[in-house]
Amino acid sequence: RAQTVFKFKMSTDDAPGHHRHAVVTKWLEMLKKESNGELDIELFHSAQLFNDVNVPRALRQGAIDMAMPGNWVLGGIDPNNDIFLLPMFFGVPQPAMHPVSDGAVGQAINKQLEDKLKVKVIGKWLDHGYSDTHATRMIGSSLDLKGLRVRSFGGAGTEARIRYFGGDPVLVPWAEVPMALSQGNFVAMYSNSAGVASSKLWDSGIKCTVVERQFFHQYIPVIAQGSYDKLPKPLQDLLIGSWADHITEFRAMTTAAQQKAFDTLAANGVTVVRPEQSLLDDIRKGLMSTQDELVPKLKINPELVKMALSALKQNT
Amino acid sequence: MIAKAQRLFIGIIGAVALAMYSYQIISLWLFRDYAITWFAEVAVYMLVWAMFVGVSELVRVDSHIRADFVISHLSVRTQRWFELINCLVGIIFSVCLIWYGWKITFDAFDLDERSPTGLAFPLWIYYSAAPVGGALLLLRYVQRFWAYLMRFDEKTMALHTAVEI
Amino acid sequence: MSIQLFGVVFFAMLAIGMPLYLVLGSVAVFMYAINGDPVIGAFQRMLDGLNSETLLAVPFFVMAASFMQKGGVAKALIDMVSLWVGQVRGGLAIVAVVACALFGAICGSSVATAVAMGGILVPAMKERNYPMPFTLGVLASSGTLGILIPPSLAMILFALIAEESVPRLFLAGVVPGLIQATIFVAYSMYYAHRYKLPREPRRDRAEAVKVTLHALPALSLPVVIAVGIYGGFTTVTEASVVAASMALIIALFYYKGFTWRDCLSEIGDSVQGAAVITIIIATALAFAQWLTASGVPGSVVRTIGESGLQPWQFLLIINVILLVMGMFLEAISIMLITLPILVPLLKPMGIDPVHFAVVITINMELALLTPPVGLNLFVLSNVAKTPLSVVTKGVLPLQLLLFALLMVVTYVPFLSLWLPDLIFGK
Ligand code: NA
Ligand code: NA
Repeated sequence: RAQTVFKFKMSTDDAPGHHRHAVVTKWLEMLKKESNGELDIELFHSAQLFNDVNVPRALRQGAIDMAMPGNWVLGGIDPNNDIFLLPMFFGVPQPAMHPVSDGAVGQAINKQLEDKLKVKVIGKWLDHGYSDTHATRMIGSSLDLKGLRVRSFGGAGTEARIRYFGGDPVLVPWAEVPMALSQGNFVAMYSNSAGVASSKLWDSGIKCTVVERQFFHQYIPVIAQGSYDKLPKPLQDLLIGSWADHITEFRAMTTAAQQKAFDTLAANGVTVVRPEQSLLDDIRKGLMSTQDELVPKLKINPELVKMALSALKQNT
Repeated sequence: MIAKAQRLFIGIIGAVALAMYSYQIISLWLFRDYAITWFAEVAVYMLVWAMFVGVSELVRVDSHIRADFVISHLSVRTQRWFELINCLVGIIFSVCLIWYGWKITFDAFDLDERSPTGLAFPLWIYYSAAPVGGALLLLRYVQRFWAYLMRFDEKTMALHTAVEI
Repeated sequence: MSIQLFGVVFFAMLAIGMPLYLVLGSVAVFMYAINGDPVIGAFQRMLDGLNSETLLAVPFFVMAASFMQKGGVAKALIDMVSLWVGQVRGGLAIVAVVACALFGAICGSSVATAVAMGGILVPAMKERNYPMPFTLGVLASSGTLGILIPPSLAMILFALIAEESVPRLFLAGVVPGLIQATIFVAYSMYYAHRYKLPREPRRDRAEAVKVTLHALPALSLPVVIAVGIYGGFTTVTEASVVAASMALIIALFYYKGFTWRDCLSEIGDSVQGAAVITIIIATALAFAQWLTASGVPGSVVRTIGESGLQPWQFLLIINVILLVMGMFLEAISIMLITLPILVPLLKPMGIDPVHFAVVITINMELALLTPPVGLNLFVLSNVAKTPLSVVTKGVLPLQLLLFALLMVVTYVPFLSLWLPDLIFGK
């Protein structure tokens, strides 16, 4: 019997040096090998086909088979994805975040995405890492942002955060950050440290990185339901099973990349500030005063917020 | 009639978009408390709408860019048959634009898809520029096809690449 | 469908005078359908591509140019400029090159530079009986300085894909950009001598002062834009808005070139003129997406990467491939298709990505000028209401000069790397 090969297309939007790219290429190679070449998934990276923002629709329309969009771009599809912009997650260490997304909260969000986009979520979310605070001058924490212009990556949650600290939010798309930064359009920004390091933003003026874990970001691995249904049962099991088997290893890879980014930043003259956990906990307590007002504003389901709070409590 | 209304629509949209965007820039410098930061985002949607509407008018006045390295050496009578083919392709393209534009619009409406900004703008309004623009485009291509087929006049109907617009 | 057959169909459609947006759009739709990909994806790509603040600079710069041109602003500028450099033969051509270089230091797009400068200078040069092909050629090719002299949208795109530092790339374009401008000025002077282009009449001192003062409000415009962008007050798109508003106000109240009544139709014309360009960009994006997914460009470039070439051979072949692609595709599409595959090859080859960025950018300048698909050609043809063949003819000698510059920059990395290394260290 001739072997049937399933040729799928997968889309990501970052460049080959990025940690998600490393994980995805490694995984796709594994799949190809373990399926004896039957599962042949071609990766289109660097947004050659789609930006992550546009990937949900591409999945729904069947223009792409697989993707792994960051959950921060999915708020437009289901506002509940923005739950991770809420104050309760400020400064929370990584191990305490996993029970939230691996547990009931993650399940509920997956269900919504699966229904709306006609996709199947392949398994646990891959960590992207934290947005930390980066500035063109020395600061100790976000408490020093008062009166400064702070770059927002968009969304009411981010802007509320900046305003809470007394900063002045300016919306700047990532593509324009280096130029805006070197021109002094803003003084500080919330961004993933690996991204700041790979874009060499010290050349554009970043002098200080505060590791204060503003927002935690993850990628959601998905396959279009139509493509998934095309696969025979053994290949479906392989796809789901291999992700489940390796997610711990993959998360370790991206966490290591995050740590390496801090070393790169330090090596290039950026001062990396690591505030005490107690300071972060205090800041979070203050921030929490804005959460109740923010939940309806971000159109997040209050039940989900309760579930998240209890998942966080169990862990601390 | 339609052309006049279209022109007025495009002019007004362009003027309002310019005013809104200018206000945002000036207010961010001078009176931050009264700044409306979503003006720029909406200006994008407005101008894309205006430009989609404008694409059909460009067919009517024959101002779409075409490579003329071959046709400029041909007689107007030969050009006529080529233009009929062009119009047919244009008709097919407009129908696709209407149909798929409508599907995209409906999808966005059905999903209640919002822009990933503080404004959370309903994107079906933006996408609906495609089916509307497609309908106007279809009208102009059908008219042009008819004119080249039935009311062809060698003296006035040579192909242009860019006339006064 | 084989790639050869596709090439024949594509050429045939262009040859029978089908509007370019229709060629790109219908080929994209057709190929999606043939490959069994959902056709809706092509239209989704068009709509998503247009939803961009950066793209918005196009209609606003068109507006600014139109206000400046029809509102009497351009006339005041040209009067003053011809006063200062008009004594030289073909003075206005030299002004065109220098003005494009200056405007290129304000604006990151070639098309916007060509629109803004062409809109002002083409009518003026026409009025002074400059040969049309020469006029359009100088403006189309000098307009490409918009992406070589910083700021540059092409460099920003490169930085995003190659994960390089934008300021470093920007600085790398400065010296090659100045060389390009110098070469073009030299060519204009040679041409002016050979074809006896006019000098401007001498004027007395009182009139000189008057003409200069009259031009000051117009001159303040580029200054405000430059201060806005380099002073860190505005983005490029915001600068285009400021330019449009200021030009409108100056035209209405100072030069009184037109009235409130004309405003609306003037703006309508500009938006519609911008639609000519934006619909092509939209369909080009869908076309490029099909091309990328088809895997053809990828496998071509990959084969080269795996064939064990010397760096100089590699660079030569890449230049040739980019030139050919540049004939048929729009610059951003070419970069989106090739860079993700080319960039990982650079380090093993021992090629500095910053140097390579400049090589790519000059290639993109050429792509904007090579027929049949060259946006700067279209822009100038549109601005001057002249057949494309006239622009193509006038561009040719300058294109050859630009190609020579490409070769020099390709094999003398020092030209690109000297300034960024000086400022940022190795
Ligand atoms: Na520039
Ligand atoms: Na070209």
